[in-house]
Amino acid sequence: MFKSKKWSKAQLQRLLFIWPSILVLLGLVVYPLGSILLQSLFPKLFEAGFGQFSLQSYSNIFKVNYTYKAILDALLFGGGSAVITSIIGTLLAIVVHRKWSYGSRWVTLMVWLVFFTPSYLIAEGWVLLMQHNGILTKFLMLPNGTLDWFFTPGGLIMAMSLRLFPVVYLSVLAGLGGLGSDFEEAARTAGAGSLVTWVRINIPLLAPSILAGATLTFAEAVSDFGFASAIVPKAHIPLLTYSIFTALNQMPVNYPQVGALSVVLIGIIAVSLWIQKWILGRGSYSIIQNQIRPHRVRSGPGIGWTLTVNILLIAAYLLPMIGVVVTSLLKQSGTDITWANLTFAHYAKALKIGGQSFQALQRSFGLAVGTASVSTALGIGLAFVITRVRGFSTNLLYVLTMSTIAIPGIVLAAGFVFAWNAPYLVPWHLNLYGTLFCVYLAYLAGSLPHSIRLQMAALGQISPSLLSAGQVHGANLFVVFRKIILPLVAATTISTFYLTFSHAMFEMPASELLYPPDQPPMPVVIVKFYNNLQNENGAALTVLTILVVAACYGFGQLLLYGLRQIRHSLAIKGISKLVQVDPNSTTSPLIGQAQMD
Amino acid sequence: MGLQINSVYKKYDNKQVLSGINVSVEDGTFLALLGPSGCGKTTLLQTIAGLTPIDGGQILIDNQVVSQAGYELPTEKRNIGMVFQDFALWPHMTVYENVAFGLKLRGVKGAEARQRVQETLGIFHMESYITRFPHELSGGQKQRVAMARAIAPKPRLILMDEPLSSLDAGLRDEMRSELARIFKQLGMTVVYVTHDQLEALSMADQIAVMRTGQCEQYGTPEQVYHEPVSDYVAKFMGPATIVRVNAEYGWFVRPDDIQLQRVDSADSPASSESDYQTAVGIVALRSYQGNRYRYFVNVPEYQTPIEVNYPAKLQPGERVRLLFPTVKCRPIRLINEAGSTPDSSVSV
Repeated sequence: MFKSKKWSKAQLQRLLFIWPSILVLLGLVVYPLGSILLQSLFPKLFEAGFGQFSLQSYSNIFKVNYTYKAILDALLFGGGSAVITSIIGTLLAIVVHRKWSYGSRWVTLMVWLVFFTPSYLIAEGWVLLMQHNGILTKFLMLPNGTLDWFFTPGGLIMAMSLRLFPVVYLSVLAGLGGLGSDFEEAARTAGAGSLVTWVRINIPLLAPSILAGATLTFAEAVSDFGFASAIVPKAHIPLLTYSIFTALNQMPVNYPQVGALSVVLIGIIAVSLWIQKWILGRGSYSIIQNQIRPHRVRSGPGIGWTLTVNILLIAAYLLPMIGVVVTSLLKQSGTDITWANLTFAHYAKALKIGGQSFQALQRSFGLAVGTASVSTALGIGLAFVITRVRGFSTNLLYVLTMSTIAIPGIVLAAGFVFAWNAPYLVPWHLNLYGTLFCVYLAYLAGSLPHSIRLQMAALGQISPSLLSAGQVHGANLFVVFRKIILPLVAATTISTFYLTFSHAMFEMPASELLYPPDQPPMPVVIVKFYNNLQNENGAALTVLTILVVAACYGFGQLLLYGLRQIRHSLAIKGISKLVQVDPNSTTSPLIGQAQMD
Repeated sequence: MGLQINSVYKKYDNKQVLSGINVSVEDGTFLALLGPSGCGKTTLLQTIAGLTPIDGGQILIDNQVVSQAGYELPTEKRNIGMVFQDFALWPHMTVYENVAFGLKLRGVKGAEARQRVQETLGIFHMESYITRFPHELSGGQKQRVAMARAIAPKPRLILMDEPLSSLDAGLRDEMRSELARIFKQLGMTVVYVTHDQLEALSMADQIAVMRTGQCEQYGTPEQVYHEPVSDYVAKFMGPATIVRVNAEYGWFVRPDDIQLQRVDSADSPASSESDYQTAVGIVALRSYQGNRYRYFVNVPEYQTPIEVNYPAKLQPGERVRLLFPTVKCRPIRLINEAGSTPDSSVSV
């Protein structure tokens, strides 16, 4: 923005900050993904270089029954989940928006919990609940086999839909917010009844929101690794993400197949996201966005809808979580659920200092704090640069961020296996594969684009004139950033830190594919427990990790609250030395600040 | 010399927004940049602030070059104050912190800063709101704080971008006269962007009427109102009757200057026939304005109706005589700009 004769600030910024960041993104995201693509096209890449071009690996995955079925299943699961989440999510959004049920805050809380809980925690909960001698069989005293339907495609799609419906819900809720009541009232005056109004007027107007949410659900379901890793070993249904994992765990590793499967997965997701973008970009959507007058509430909440909503929320979240918690308290999973069979022994074991679980927890905590710190700090800086500085380098940065945001974790992790294990890295001692640092880099690669995007959204909310006002009144770019931008986006930056932290604590694909054998992070240990039929130990460690994450959140909130109080009492003291506080002021500045936050 | 803008050019993508604009004002002048949306007035303000770089020409503040092609003195070093259309008060800072922001960055701290903040807020009667946050203030109060923030560091130039446009009509009138008084007292150089000709006429010392990136006319409020150089300026400054003489030139008269007489009444024609041009027409439309009526009179010689004000109620269809005072009918250049007020223009 500022030009001067020799090295302008903008040029220095580019040289010192933007280009290094581009290099980091290239190394962390583009290089691994590129090596996947090349590996699938040049099967002997690491031995013979670019000599041998072949599409063999692509034709193979469609010839081999297992991989072919995995791709078909992924599409089936994605499609099925998209349909069911559309129904559940739309209905819930309408009920909540029109206030047909009691307790909308509770609903909001539960929906966000479902949205942010890592899918493999929920998936494991379902498995513990539904398997032979599982919690539900024991609790309801059912004969084994009664719940086997859960481990069929139908059951899986149901469970996945209960995990993913918040995506549609949030999309439709936003659409309803812009719908207003004019269209509906026009239909009523024309003689349409309640049902006709919904079917002919409101639902068609909401279609873009529903479809946009459904395509996102589809992409999420296809790229999900948590459900696959928890349920596939029990249900024996091939799934695309899991087939990438198995191909990497074969001896010898079938690298070209991993590459081809990853490219197919990315392709499916790219197409669905492109469709979503196209749906949202169509003109019809803007019609309902221009409505300002909100809907008038006609009928109050009812018991029937309240029950329906709560049954849905219980099934979506509380049921699988109960599965985990009850299992963690059982002396041995598979035994009857009686008081005598309950114990805290597994927690004690997990918390034993120096024990395997405790060490894994410590390791994951360190990795997560490191990931969250760097990813959040780098993210806010890059988001600021992308939104404020124009030029080729920032455009490149933006494109890199946005195009890597939807890459499934399993593909990125597989890319790290290729990219940081290559023979040509040996002379430079850059074979990072098999080190904890490699796991850390993969966590960072997965979280950085999200961090940038979240904080870009927050920066986009700040009116540009607030920043111009800073400059005009004598602040340079650095002061504007520190004094105006940072305080205004602090809430988002802190949430970003926390989200990145909790995501890294539960990060599954990169942990599974990249962990050093003697230093497993927490998710790997949990999965090991489950696979070794030590369900109760796995469940206890899961609950502990959730508690650690929740405790960190609580502590962080407390710290922030304290800091805010101190800052304000200092500020008020400083000012009131000079003047009497306005006697007509109805709200104290402290309350005002709390409202603003 | 307070501010000099020497043939400044600015292009966005392929659109020429400023094409060689020239304006200079002395210290202590209240300058209004007036024009319809899209004429480049806000862009010009942004270039003065240094928020937008220029492609050609020069901008000087106090004889110091602050902008020219390839060189921009950073905004924060220009020592200016600015009031934004949306106020742009920082929502996380109190009124005190907002106003003290610029002072602290200029090294004014401690007791002196407090005193300056107090004094400045006092000018706008806002000293008792010092601990409030922007969201606890009304629109007018925010406006006053924004003004105080801009002038607290005593900058050499104050820039204002339609500062009154987000206030409601009553408050706008009140603020208009108050602001004009305050800035006159402070003796500050002000550049004030507006699309409201009443605001410009009532507040400014000098008005620059802008059109498509150029200054169409520069002068005192009286000059631009009574002696517009073109039909564009004439129509922008208020209702005007424009009579075309040829393709390029014509003459204009304000409706208030035209005298109307009933043809069948006993009113005698004007004292001296040579002081007036006369025409006879038929009342076509009447609209009540409260203190008078506005009429559109069809005159056979002219193609479109002529706008004129008259205190008494006439019936449509009545024959009237119009008297155009020769001294008030001024020659002007015709631009034939689309989008102005066509109902008051007349072609011969």
